[in-house]
Amino acid sequence: MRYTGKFLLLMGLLFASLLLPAQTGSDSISIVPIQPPSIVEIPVVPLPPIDITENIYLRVERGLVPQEVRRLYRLRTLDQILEQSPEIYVRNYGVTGIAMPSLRGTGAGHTQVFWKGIPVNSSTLGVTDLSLSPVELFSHIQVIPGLESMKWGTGGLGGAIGLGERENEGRILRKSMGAAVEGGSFRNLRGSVNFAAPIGESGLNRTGVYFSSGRNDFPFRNATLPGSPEQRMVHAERRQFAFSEDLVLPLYSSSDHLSIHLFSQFSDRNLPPSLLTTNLTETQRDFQQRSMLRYTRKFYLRRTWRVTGSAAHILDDLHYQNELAQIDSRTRTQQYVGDVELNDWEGHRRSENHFGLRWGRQLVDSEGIGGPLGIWNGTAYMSRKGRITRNHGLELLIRESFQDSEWTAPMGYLKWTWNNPDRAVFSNINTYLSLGRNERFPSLNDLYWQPGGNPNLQAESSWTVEAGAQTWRRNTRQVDRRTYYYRLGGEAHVYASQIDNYILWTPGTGSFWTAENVQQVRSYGGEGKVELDKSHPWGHWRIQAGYALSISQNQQQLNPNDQSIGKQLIYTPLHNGTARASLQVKRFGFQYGQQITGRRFTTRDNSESLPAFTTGRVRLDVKLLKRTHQHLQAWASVENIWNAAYEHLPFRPMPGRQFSLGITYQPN
Amino acid sequence: MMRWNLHIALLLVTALLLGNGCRRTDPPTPDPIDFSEGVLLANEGNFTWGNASLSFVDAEGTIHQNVFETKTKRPLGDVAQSLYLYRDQIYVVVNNSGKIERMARNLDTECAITGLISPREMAFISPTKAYVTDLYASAISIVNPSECSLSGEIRVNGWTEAILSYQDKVYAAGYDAGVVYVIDPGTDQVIDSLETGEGPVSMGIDANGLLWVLCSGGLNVAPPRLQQFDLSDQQLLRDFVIADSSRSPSQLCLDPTREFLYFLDGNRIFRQPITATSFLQEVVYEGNDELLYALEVDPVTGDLYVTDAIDYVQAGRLLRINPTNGQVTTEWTTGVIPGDMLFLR
Repeated sequence: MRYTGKFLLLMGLLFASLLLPAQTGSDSISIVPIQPPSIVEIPVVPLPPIDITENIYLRVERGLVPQEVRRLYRLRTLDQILEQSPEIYVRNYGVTGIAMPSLRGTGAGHTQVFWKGIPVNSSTLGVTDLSLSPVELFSHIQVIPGLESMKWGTGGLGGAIGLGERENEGRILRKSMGAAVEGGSFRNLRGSVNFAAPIGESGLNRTGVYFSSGRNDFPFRNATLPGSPEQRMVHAERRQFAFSEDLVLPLYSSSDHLSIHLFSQFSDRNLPPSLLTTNLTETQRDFQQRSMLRYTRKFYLRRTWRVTGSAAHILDDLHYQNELAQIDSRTRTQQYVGDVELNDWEGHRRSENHFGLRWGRQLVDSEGIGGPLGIWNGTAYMSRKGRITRNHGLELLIRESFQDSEWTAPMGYLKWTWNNPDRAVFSNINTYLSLGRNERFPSLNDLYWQPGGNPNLQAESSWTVEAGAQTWRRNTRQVDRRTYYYRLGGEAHVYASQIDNYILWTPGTGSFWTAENVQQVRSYGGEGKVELDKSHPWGHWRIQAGYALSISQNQQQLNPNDQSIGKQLIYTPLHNGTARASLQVKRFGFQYGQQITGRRFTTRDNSESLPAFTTGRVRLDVKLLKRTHQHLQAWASVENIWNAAYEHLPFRPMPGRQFSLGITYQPN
Repeated sequence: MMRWNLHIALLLVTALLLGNGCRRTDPPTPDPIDFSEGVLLANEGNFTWGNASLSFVDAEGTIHQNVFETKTKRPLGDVAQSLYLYRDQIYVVVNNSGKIERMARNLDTECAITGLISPREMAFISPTKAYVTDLYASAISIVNPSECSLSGEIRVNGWTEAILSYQDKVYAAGYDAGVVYVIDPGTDQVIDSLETGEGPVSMGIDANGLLWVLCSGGLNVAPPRLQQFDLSDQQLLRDFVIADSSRSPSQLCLDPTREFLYFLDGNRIFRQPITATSFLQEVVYEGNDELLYALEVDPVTGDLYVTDAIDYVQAGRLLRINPTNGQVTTEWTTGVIPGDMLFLR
């Protein structure tokens, strides 16, 4: 509570600054380095053919997964799409195991996942299993590394992943429906059915159903046996069903909307044993249900404001069974969340303000933490973004959170931006420099797991400084009254961060481990992307490449014999890179992607490691039918085309070369 | 401009394709190791990580890492639980791989007993019969070491841990049941049981032929105990309460004379004469921020060998300690979670 007074004072000062009249200089240059993408899109199947003038990799809001990529991997899950981003490392616990993200060299719990602005990380584990989120059912997927994740919430010391629009659902211009199905190696079958329709001028209804199943009995070389014989993966069957609904109803006018959002999924999977174990009895069933009722209203008070009020219920039910070890564990967590946001609607002018308040009640029923448990949590924030000169801007965000009786110190960041008006070389150069701090509360397992949970744990806290630049050059030419262009762009970001009170489960004095605030981690590195694309009378091509360097080292010894000081954190690749080339010629599209993941250490003293690996994927699309609103498109793809043998965890082989064929059809 | 674009495009495409062309070179062949004398150490490795390994300290005091993998070109398995030498053959119980590897003295692998559920420790009855305790099976497995086969089981209640063969009986510690099962190896039947404290984990026979049982107390269930039984009439002779229930003593050993007991408790090594009528709490060695994990006594010299797991997620240490003054005479870096030891001579 000792920080509450400071927090209220800061909030008061920030709010007072809002009362000052905003300067009204030239509006010709935006203070936002990168404009968010248009919210008008029609996310129904089949999506229109790839148009490289839309939603380009570098010109969209940072970290937004391009529509092109979402379309290509529409029937896959979130882990499969995000592993193609260089700034994120996805750790798969085997072919049907959970998939956890890691941003900027931090742990999985340091990446917060938000569904339409509401945090959905498991309150017990503190992480989200990305393999349970079908890409098809999210119209918006965004990776937000670093400090800007605090716009969504706290705890994302590495960053955040946003699923679904946070504030509104865009517009749908016409009624449409479609279906897609894909079948491939190892009896994998995926499909979806979508329906979308406008309601009035500004409302919409969007429904999606998704299913997938797979036997996953892929072959692999078992190097743990003499002669490395070829074997087939066993006990790796999986099936999943998911449903989503977005219903946005205009009320009295186009300024008032009431919306209902639902997401529900059920998955049933066998967990294959590692190559060195023989347990064929591990299974996991996950049921997730997310429901939200949201009211949005725009109004004018010296400027246009938008107020959004949301009430959400998040349910996660995890049922893990291990017959051999006689474990039958069921964890059921529920969150009741209320959220109010207020922001002005002056994005094109000199200032922009946001205020938010979220509170919630988490209810957990788990044998692991000794039965039912309920805790309160909440967060409040405000931010102001403005231009101080024609080219310079400042953004300030302040946030404070609580969990039960524990309050964080004030968090937030200050960001300076600079926009180069010189258009001689590149069309635009946007740079920024940010400094801020963030905190993450311990998960309920860290606090209350029996035995070993530690109710006296403090929140992890981080200080981060980050800087970056983005630029692009675009030339156009006219041939036969048609416009062709080439574009070259790039972005680079560097960061340095220190995390204190890092929570680690360490051997206790008795026969079990305990959670302690014993580690201090320093992370630094950078992320960069380049993109080159060009259109021709016969089509167009594009090449994209990205790379991330993540140095994340422990700075604190557990004891004098601890050799982990200055060593890279386990399962944190130093290098991560992706590259993609695409070519579109008339009705045919071709994409090739390559991904490189660096060596990952598996012991804290870096004495053991998993080797680096690289995988390639190729895909061919053909439009069989294209009329104004009628599409029929087929594709063939090969994942891991070079049949690389690789593992995210030791002795848990991932699939080799996989083929698939798919088709999408939109009849109207 | 056109040529410039083309160059960049070619560069990126070349980089993409070259990404698959990396080659690995084979490591140099190590010098042969003399396994005739030394200490073989089982590094348990982390549960489900598959990083178990064997280290070997040779007669010159040089440690050799990953000797199993170096010999066989394959990993040992998941959690190397215990080591045995029987009739000049070495047996490694690999807990979470459900197997027992049988090797010659030079560590050439001969065969593996597979199909076990979660094997822990082993007691040899004859060249064709051995018993194996188990964490999950609720049974003691009967195996045939000479044929490397699984031949049967003896049903018990829950987890069994330590096991030893003495005279014409076999004694197995039932951790869950809080008893020591008495088994007749002739009939493979449980013929009796000794009631112990909570969580019996290790046992030993002293110079007087009396059975000592160290009870960990379970997971904070009860205070740990050190108990002595007379096997002739199965009477409980001594029952020492060692510490409060938050402690978890383990690794009961006897010195070469079998006159002294040693065990671990926290970061300390305790010594107790078998003749003492009370728990003396004599500390032979106190670790300095160490995480002492396994303890053995050299059956010839009486030196104490104790392992330090550090934090379980990095290479550990093996310490040799003089039992008379508690001084560390030698220390070695080992594999991850160094555990059971086997003295080869």
